[in-house]
Amino acid sequence: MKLTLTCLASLLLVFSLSAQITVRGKVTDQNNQGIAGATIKVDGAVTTVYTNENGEFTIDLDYQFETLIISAEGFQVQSVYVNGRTNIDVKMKSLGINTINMGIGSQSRDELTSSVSSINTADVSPAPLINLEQANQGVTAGLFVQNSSGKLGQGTTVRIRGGSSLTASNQPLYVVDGVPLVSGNQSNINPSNIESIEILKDAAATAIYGTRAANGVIIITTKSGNTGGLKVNVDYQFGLSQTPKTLDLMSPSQFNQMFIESTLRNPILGLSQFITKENLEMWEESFQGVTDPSELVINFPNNSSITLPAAYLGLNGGQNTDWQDEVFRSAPSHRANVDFQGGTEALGYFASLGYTTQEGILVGNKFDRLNGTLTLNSKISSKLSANMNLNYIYTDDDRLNEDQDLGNPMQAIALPPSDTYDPSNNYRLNTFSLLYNPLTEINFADYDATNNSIIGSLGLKYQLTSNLSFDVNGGIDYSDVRVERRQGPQTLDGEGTGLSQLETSDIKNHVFNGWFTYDKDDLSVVLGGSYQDSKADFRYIRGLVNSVSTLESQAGTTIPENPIPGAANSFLSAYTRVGYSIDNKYSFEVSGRVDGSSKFSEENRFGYFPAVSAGWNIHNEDFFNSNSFSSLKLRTSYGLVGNTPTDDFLYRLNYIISQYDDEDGIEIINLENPGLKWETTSQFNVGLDFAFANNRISGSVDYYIKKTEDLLFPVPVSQTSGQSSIIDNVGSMENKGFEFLISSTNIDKDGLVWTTDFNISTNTNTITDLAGEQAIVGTNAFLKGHSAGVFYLVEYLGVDPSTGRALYDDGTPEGTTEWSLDLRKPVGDPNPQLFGGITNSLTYKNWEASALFQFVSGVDIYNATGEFLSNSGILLINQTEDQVDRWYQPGDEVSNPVLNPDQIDPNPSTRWLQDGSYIRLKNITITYNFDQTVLSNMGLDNLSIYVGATNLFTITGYTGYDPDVSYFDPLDGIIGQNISRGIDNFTAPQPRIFLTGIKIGF
Amino acid sequence: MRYIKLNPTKMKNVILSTLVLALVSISCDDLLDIEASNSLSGDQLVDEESVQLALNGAYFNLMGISDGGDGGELLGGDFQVMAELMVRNDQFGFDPQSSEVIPQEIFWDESAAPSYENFVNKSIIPTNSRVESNWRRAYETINLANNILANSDNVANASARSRIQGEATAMRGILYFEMARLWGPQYTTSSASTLVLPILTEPIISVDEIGLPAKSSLGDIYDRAEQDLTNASTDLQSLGTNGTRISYYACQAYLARLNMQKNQYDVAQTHLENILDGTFSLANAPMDAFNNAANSTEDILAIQQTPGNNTGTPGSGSGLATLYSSLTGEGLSAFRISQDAISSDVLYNNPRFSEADLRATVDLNTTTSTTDVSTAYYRDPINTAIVSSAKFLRNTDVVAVIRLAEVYLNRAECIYEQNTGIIDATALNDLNMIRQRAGIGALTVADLSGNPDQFYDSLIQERNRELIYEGHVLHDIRRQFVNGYSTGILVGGRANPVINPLDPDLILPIPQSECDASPGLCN
Repeated sequence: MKLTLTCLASLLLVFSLSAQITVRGKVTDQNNQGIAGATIKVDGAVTTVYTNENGEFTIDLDYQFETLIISAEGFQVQSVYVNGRTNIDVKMKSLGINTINMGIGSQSRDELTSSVSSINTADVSPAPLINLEQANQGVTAGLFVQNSSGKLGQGTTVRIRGGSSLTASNQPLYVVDGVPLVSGNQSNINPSNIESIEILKDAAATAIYGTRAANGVIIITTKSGNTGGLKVNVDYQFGLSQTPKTLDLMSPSQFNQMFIESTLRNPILGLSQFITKENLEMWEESFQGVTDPSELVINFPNNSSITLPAAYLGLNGGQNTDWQDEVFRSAPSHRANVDFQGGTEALGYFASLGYTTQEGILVGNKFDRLNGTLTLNSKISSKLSANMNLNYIYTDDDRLNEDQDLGNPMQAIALPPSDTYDPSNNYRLNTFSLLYNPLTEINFADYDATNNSIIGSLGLKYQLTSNLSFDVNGGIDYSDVRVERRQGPQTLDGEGTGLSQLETSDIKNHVFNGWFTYDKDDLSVVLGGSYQDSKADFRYIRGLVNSVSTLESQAGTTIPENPIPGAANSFLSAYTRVGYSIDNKYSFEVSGRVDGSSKFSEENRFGYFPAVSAGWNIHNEDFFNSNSFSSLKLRTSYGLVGNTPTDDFLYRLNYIISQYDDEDGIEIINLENPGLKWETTSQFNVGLDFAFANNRISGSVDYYIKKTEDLLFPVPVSQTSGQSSIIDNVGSMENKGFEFLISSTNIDKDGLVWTTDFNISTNTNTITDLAGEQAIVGTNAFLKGHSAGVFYLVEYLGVDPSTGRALYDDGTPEGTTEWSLDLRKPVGDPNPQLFGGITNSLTYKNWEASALFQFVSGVDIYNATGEFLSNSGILLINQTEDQVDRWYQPGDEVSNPVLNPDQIDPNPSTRWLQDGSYIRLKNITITYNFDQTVLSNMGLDNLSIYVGATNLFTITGYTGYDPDVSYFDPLDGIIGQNISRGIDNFTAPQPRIFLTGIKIGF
Repeated sequence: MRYIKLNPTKMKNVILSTLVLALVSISCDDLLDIEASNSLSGDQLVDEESVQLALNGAYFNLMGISDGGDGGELLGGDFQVMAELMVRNDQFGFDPQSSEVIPQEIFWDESAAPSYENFVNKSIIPTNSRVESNWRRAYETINLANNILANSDNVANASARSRIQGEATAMRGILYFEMARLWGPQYTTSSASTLVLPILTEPIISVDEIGLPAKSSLGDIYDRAEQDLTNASTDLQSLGTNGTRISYYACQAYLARLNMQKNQYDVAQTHLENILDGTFSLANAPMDAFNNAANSTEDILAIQQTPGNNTGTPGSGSGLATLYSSLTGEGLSAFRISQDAISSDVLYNNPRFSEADLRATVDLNTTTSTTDVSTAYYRDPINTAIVSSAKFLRNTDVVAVIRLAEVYLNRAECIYEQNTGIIDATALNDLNMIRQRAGIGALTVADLSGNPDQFYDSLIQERNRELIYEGHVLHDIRRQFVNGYSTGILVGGRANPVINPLDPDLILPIPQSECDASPGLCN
């Protein structure tokens, strides 16, 4: 609407001017699309013109040697020396996105009163990251992205302004082309097809999503058709992944010394006094190459002697198996994409086909994905327009075992380096035959997950009057996932018979949405309603057979199949947003949603989520007469949003089906809890947006306080009720922090442009009340007064120099050698205090270079791998090399305790808690864009080639593979993910990827 | 006639507005009432079919059927295993009184089946997970039974109603009796007033109905159990063996056990006679009573297991076969038996099998398949130094809860206790039926030197042989001890190795989680 008015104005201006020398031109964006309403100003004069709808302009000049200053909202200002030309085409560089898609309706940046980040999709593309969430790591403020593992197809933790819940989801709500997703397929959207990503952070932005918006909302809009000729883009990328790091593990000799020590440390022998590092080295050396077991004799000064177990002969023959080398590999990946965009006003189209195949850095891991997209948009009549989006996704994922599982390839690093394996004997170890070699699993098991999904929407927009329009759309989000797993008779779990498992899930999610938009002068109103229902059915069968097809054919007969409860929920909602601005100086907005959810009882079914916000465009004030500031805006908001429980039917008596003697029965799974309600998160936000130096520097700063009340938490109840706990609303939690974003054009001279985008965010999470309850899972806890998931461990004080035993803090100055669960206390925070990123881009003539550094600070990681891999030789498995410096003799001042051959329990403690801060060169790319003149001869619009790297280097004090880690067992569900944070348990690192690619447009 | 001229644009607006309004204001409750597959909500117990479903669900719990998380609790194993481990010794030791070496009778493998070590160590902590699982699942079953009883009026058919009521009432009675035996002291006139655990007879369907439970006395719990089992007997009497479900005879057997525990031997005998009037008969050979796909002729109550519904697998780690069996794929061999100690005459409550006893046969070949096992014990195929009991080979076979053999031994004991001065012919005959089946020959009055005490010793010995590993001995020795019989549990590794059967260490504590959730309950 606004654009139309400005265009009219520009036309009038053109008419009113007298004839001089007319210069014509076109102002376009990076994709050669015309920019309407751009301002063309003659430097030092008053003459100003605007571009028309197609981005074209004409300007009458006196001399033809003036300098034109071209500006457009959302683009960097450019100056062009006319230099006698009569035709000037200007390609503008985007500052970011001007019109903000709010999911339901859109708003211009100027009128925006809430906190929203936009991600320029140009930033998303080159890296071969499969997962859209990973691609946004470090890119914008307030968005924390953490990888769970470097295995392909694994989940990613995404937090907008911290987690707001303990038992319900902490992931943001994803809305793809108007469809709030249930399937989790946001990770599988083809990054090349994304037009824009908006991150709604404060309550004013999210309140319109009501009960599901407590964790923020991420709006993903895919590309649509346009008017103009057919434009085809083709791109191909090749990547090579490798592990960014290998650990320093013990050498065969060091391992063998540990073997000898483990034998001699047996308390019955009474030989400990003779164990020194030097003696162990001497004995080990003397036994090298010995083949007769009777020669494995150690004589001691007290005239006693001992013969080592004959098994030692399997270790001393000079074998050196590099287990890291056995399981890590250089893994190629290919990504190809073709899209077609074009059409007329009556029918615009965008279609694309993308295929990605990537091998993981661990043997056996592979991920393939096929994406097909079709978007049609049509102006059926002057008043009626329609659009349709279809995203088809197919993925095929060769998975690996869970990290803690012995069949996980990473577990191989704990195998003895002086042992070898025999491929003809099922890859079993030749000496330590009871240790499980993950290569057995890799070679005799299949673990394959396929996902067939579709996300689609169909919308109609009817312009009722010039000010009033009505939108209606319907969307689907279907996902069929099938996980087939077979572990052969040679494997640990399938021993003898083979073990097969089949797991399927079938998710069907529908949404219907209708809303009015009224826009006149300074008033804009959105009023609408929506209905969404989601259903999921699950199936799981497991049987001692050696193929999934046998399993399926025998299911229900010789192999039992038990019914698995499905999931179902629905939302019925009405929402509104009313915005009013005065003189383009003051804007006010009231928004809200009434949400009815099937997850609550009739009394508590409907929730009201209001928000208010205001903005003040200081730069439009008369008193504010600054030449330097082009924009200065203060905004503030306050509002309420909600979060619903994970389980669907907690408010009513709920039964699940169970069987006795093959007859169906029902049992109570949860009691009626009519008082149950959603978690309510109130959020206050204040922010300042600024731009100065001709828009060369722009940015924003925000401060927020988010308070969640009525936290859903499992409260223990008397088990005489048949239940051990009930989910109830108790407790509260707070997140607060700052966000700072700044973009600057440091140099723009003689064809050299250097820009910097920097963002940094802080977040402090505190559980402020938990009604006297607590929860402890493994090494993490929910405790009042601490951040959610705080590390709860026994504090390690070091080694008692006289006995070599580990010392733990028990409140006494000297500590205790007795490890006990009672000694646990909150000791570290898995939630980062600070995170962000900095992108530097350089353009010179045809060259472009860009580098993104990403950083996280003030965070702890529990290196659970160390419980076994760095624990003084526990269970006689291989150790990191630092464990050579363990205690041998009284008086040794070392950081690692004595080897204890009887130790089974690793005694988790702060011995393995580490600072997880890091800064990483996340992405670097260098692109060469071929000259237009060269290309036009070839009939091409654009051609570029690039090389780059991902995770090229990382600066960190963390000693494990990768500080970007947070492993959780998917079987632990959402609560497990919420509490088990910052754990590295034989977890694969994020790969380092070298890549090269080509993009062609014609 | 007046024509109303409609403005088409306005008309469209009206239609669209109406559509939107309709969308926003369609009966909300209809749209928000939604159901998921394999899940049922709200008032479900509305007719015979649905109440029967709830009854099957109660069996699922009572029989400790595994759902992956739970499994092997209550009758489905733990009531037997916990009691059995408490009378067995897995510590090598020395008895200063007899100057005898105390052998290890069993070797419990805690890593194969965690949390059971407490029982064999006779030191049971309130945070023990088995104690908690059984406590919670027992009350879950009781609550389901209470729900069934509260809704049994919805069963239209009178005979079906009576059957369902009978089975649900019996479940509640069985559980209160079993829990009183495990969580309470041995019943005596003085201990009857001891507060043991809460009795719940009203259904809980809402979190608002969860109150602060208060303990009832041992006497009240026994009374509740006896009343329930008596009512159930009435409801079920006409149904004979009632398929494989809880029958009149099962109720009578439990009433007999209960009255024996209360020292009401005459009442108990009446109940036992009622069972013996039924159609049950002893299996031909001792081991024929075990590892059957369906109830044997001597099963009065047994847990039905199928490939899909069983008390657990080696994968889930629960159930009797999982704990006892050492065959690959069938069990984890947690309950490892020392072959030497089977016939130890040092240990108390030991079977002291004679050579000829069919219940002492051991297959020393390395067996890999359940079908190869026909003996009472077999060598553990991996840990060949130990043997495994063949009573629980497979998780797809029925597991006896009450066998006719016990009924005979019980009747013999009841008759003896009513007149300890004589060797009653019926009692001796009952004992001999069990002996003869085991291949060890009948005893005559002369063999017993006419001494009723010798008869009683033989009878106790026979119980220790016939019912070994089935969880009876703990309750037997408590009952026998208060009747003046000198007995106990001999454990190695202690300064005073004899444990009194009434020792509070042998009484399960109320789980810590229950104490925490119910302030005052554990004071």
